[in-house]
Amino acid sequence: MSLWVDQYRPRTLDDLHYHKELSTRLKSLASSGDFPHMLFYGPSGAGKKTRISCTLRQLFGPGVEKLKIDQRVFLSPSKRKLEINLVQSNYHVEITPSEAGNFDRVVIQELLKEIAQTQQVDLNAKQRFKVVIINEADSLSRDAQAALRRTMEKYMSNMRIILCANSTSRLIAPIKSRCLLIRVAAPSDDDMCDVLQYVAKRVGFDLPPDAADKVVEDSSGNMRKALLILEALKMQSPNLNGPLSIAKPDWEIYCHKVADLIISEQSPSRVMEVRGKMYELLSHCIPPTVILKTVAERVVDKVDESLKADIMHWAAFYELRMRNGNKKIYHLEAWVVKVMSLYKHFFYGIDMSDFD
Amino acid sequence: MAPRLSQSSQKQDRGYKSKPKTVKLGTPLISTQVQKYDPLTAFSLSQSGGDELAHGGMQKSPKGKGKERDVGYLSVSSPDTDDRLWAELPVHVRKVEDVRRWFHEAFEGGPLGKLRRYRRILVLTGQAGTAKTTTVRVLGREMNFNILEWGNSGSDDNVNDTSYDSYESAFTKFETFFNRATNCRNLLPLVEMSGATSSQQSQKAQNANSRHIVLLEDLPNILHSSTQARFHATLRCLVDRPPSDPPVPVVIIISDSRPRGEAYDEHGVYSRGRNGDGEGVIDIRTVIPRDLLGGPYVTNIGFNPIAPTLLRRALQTLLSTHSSNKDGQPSKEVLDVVVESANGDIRNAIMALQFAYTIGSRDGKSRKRKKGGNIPTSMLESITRREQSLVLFHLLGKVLYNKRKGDPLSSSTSAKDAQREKMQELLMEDPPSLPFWLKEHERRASKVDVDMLYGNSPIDSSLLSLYIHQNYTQFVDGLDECDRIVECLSWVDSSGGEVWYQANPYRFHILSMGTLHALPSPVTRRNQKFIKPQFFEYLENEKEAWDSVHDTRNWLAHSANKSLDNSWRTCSWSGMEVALELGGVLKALERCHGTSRPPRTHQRFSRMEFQSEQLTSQQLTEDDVDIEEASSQMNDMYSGHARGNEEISGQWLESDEIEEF
Amino acid sequence: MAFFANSNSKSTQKQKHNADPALQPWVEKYRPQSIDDVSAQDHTVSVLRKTLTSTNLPHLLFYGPPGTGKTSTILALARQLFGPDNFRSRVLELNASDERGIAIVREKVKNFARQTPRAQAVSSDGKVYPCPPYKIIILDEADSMTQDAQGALRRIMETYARITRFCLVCNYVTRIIEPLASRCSKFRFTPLDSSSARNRLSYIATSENITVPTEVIDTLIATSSGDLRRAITYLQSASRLASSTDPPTPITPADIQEIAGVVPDPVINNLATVLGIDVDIQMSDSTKTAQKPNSFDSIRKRIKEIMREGYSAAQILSQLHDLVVLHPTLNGRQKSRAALVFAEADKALCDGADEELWILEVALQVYKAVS
Repeated sequence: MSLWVDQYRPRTLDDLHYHKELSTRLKSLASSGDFPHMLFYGPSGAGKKTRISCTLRQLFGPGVEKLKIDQRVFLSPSKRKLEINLVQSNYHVEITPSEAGNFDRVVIQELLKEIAQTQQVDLNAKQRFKVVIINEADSLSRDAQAALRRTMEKYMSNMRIILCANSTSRLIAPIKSRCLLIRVAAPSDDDMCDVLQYVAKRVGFDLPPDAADKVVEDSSGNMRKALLILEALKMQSPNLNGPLSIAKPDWEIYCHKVADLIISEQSPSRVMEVRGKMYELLSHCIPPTVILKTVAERVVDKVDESLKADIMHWAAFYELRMRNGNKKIYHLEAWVVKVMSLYKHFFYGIDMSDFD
Repeated sequence: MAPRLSQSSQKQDRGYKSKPKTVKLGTPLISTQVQKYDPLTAFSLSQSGGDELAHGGMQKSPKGKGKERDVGYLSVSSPDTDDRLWAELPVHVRKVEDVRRWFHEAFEGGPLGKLRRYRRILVLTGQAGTAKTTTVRVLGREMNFNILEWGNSGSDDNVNDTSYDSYESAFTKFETFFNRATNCRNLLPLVEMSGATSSQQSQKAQNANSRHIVLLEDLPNILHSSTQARFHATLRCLVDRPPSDPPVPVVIIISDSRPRGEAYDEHGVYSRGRNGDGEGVIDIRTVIPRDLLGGPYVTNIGFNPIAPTLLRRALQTLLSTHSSNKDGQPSKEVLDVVVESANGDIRNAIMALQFAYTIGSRDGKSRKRKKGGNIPTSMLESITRREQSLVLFHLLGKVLYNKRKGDPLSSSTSAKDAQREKMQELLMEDPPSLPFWLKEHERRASKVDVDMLYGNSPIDSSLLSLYIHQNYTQFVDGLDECDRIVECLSWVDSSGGEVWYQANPYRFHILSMGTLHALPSPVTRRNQKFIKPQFFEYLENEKEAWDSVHDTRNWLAHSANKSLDNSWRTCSWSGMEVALELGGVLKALERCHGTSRPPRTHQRFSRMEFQSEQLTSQQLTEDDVDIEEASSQMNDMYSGHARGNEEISGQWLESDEIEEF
Repeated sequence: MAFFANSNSKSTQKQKHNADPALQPWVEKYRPQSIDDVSAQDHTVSVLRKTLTSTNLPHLLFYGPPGTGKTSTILALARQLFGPDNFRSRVLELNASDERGIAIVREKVKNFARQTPRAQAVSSDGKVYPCPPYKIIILDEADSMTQDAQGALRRIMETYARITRFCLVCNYVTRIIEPLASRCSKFRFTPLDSSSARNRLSYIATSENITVPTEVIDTLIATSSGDLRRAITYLQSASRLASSTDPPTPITPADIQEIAGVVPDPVINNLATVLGIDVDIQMSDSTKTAQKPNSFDSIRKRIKEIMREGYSAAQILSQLHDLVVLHPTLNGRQKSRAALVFAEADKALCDGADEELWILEVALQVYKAVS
């Protein structure tokens, strides 16, 4: 069994459902013979990886779909063993260097050097170069980025690099300037509806427009999320007509309940209770930033207009602290306390000026 | 050194028990040791577990012997009935039942006789001193199987070892041992010959006697990557073979090492994967290859810290059995302290008790009944871990009670103390008064000397911050104070750079002074209790959850690979995407009984039940009710896991039957 | 090293395993061949020209923003000093951020400086080069070297002073330790003025045989803000995209903006309107009536839409900054309050904070500041 997201993923540039203009561009680039390093960026679930793989197929033909998953072992400077999963075909290699944590530089350097030094052996290959796909490029450390910058210049003759990132802000300028930037925007709601209908047709069921709209609305531009919701929905209630209730993921509901806790009472003991919940969320692998954002969104929806800006301000403030600090829980809690005290002061009509 | 065959005594030949049983397995045994299996002393005998893992190839037998000498005075009398035996084993009954069932299925094959094939490896995990090994040994006696145990060799054995002409690597020896032990049938006659059980024994006895298990406690050096690979290969090889007849299940015992709550711990978790900084740890993930861990052949049973009530009962039984004169016995208070400070580690508790006993008896002689067997508390504290926690206790108290000049004295203070306080306050200078725009920061002079605190602190600032964070809410009156404290925590945590040497050197001071400044003065007394940080629990949970995220991701890739020609791009799920977006589908998949199911563990990250009231936090001081509750909850959780395993294997069984019919 | 292969490929085409020159980055292809070709930087060039005649070179320290020709200048100078034949044996380029430890730098310098250079006046291309008896070591990105490494470098400079000249290239002179900086003659490189950038770009366009309308060049200059390397890279990418389609399409300013990752003006203007900033004075009548409750929710909605489009937060920030700071009607107090927010957000984004939260924060604060 395979998830619909994977199963019905478009495989060629022509199959792509939206951003047609981008597709033609990629197509012509791939066939021009002058293929640059590229950087795909855009929000998650917009279809970056799908576009990358379609481009690869355009470059190398169907042979690129013969994949094998390898586990490669790298040695960190302290001779510690790093296991990295590599997905590769004869023509390309895909890595997620952030899996190596702090040692991503080693992985990048070793792997790229190795690939760059081996010539393309397949004489029938359409291109003389190999492609290296680097996922989650925005979480690369500065060191790794510097190393990458060097390699990109050095081995241009038999290697191209495709970076995939959510945003370009965290990439150093030299890398950005060496790549062709490709922005992949999230699909519009109509685009998403089309895709959902297409998938429904492929699977073989009727998707009522209402249901599609609902799914789209719930997934806010994340195509992958939309398809996953649809699949879950279909599994739960095979008959999609009639009123549907889209079950949010557990963690999201949990976050909302936490928000309600914050609003319903403001006291030290409530702080304690919320802390327990935060711990629970964190231990379910929910990234602290996501927790903060989800809870904040919910809180903001429920409070008075005049508080909203301040609540978001502190959310941004403590999110930054979280990045710099070690123990996420402190910062989450600091924000919670801040919101509680804002809320409480608001109700008691106390002058708020010292909170600015 | 040679693999050692240690034998658990059996009902049939209890009479011969004191005789050493030497078994020759490949190499002559240099040191054999008499092991008497009483559940209580067995703890001291089987010191090997965690310690030896930590010290690598420490030699086993001398150590074991030493321990035996140590406990000599508590000379062992074996329990006469099985009931008694179980009463003494301080492990939760349900847990023992789990293990017993596993062994039963391993030997007999369960109700349908087919489970034998899947009960190959049992992994027992838990903190040090939670009776993992003892449970196995006691069960060995009850269910009549022999325990073949591997011990890593010390170098001197190599010298004496003449049967090998050439050098053989330690791991090769292990391999030889392991392979022979798991399927070698000619072991049987050997055992019988040397075991002084004559051949006229009944058929039943023979049957019983022929059962063996292999116990791996002292593992080869798993942290060395190539050894790890070979070890994994050995295990896989075992699982690939059909079980020998009679089956030889393998029991692996892994003692946890806990995270210490320092900065890198959390970083390790966040770097998503086992390649983070937390690599150098032996846990079930490093010992058992990943594919086996998810598979049907490996069962994992976790042991909880021993509950104080059980621990106390065990210690009492021990005392009543082993000391005849009531004089020399440690008093009840001593027992309490020992139990409390042992933290669920029975090995530690027995050692402390033994210490207390020796001192106590000597004292008892000199002072003759004056104080009974009482020991000076200070002495006791240095024996147990009490002292350490007391200092911590003081530190937290100083910081969180925020005593300042002019605080009203509590009603319980004696006149003398009150007088002294007065004198001290007179000596303290009042801080200069602040200009009007800083008036809100004006406080009375503090009685806490932060420099002194820093000097005496048994913990570093990171741990202190965790403790303050966990406890501050009880000491504040309003949200503003909360706000100031948590802001201070947050600031201190995020100050300083990414590397240790850029860390802010004044963290401790800022933290304690900031807290003192923020707390109300005086702090309202409402019977506050110090609670242990939940942080560590969370860290462990998160680590496990990430592991299951990885498992799920692998499952995604593999299931797609199997069923479709397009494995294309399916492996491109990042861990975060799995954790955040896959929940709904996983839930639905589980409900609809499809052909391929996600790994059971996915619930660790995909399931979240919101409970409005909750939390039994572990308190820093005595309060056993809480802990018992918590541990029984844990038990429920674990039995839930066991049920989960059941279901999985049930599924496998089905597919088997299809194969066969 | 790829760099040498690239820079030499024009003059010595026959040698080396080099890639097709068509695929070569234009930045390398159109590096100035002599210091007279260096765009702008007249002052520096005139001083350096003197050293060419006297052949005595001090240690050099070039600093200035990226893409202003620092590396190009020293390479061109070296080429003029040594000629194509000796260039390889006389010039060593080290990337300080790549080859980190000072031990490696020392080793490389030692090896490189070991053979004393032999002068050879007439080169294979028939020209006469001064070929002074020293070697040049170029340390690129010197400001990313650690303090310790810089300290050690001081010693190395002294040891090999007789036969080597160092050229440190960096963005921030303040990050070079004083003892090191004082040993070098310092040259500041200023951002390129638009006319010299324009000249260079149109020169490249003509050599590459592509038609580039003036408004495209304007956009290039605007988006690259004085960084010639960026402008050339954008131009190359754009021409690559344009020529790869069938039939080739002309390059448009929108293409350049997309390649540079610039957020289109309408998007930014729209955001600014939501924030209560009058973008277009003429249009303001119509928008004023249409927009009124510039509440939290409408701002948040707008930000969500923008983030969905995938624009980079740093880019949004800098464009919004330009718009606010150059705004004709906002007063000084409003602008400075907004500027404070921008500064804070920039730092946060550098530290890797969440983009959506911070852009929202910026929007809300700017809204507060201007209202």
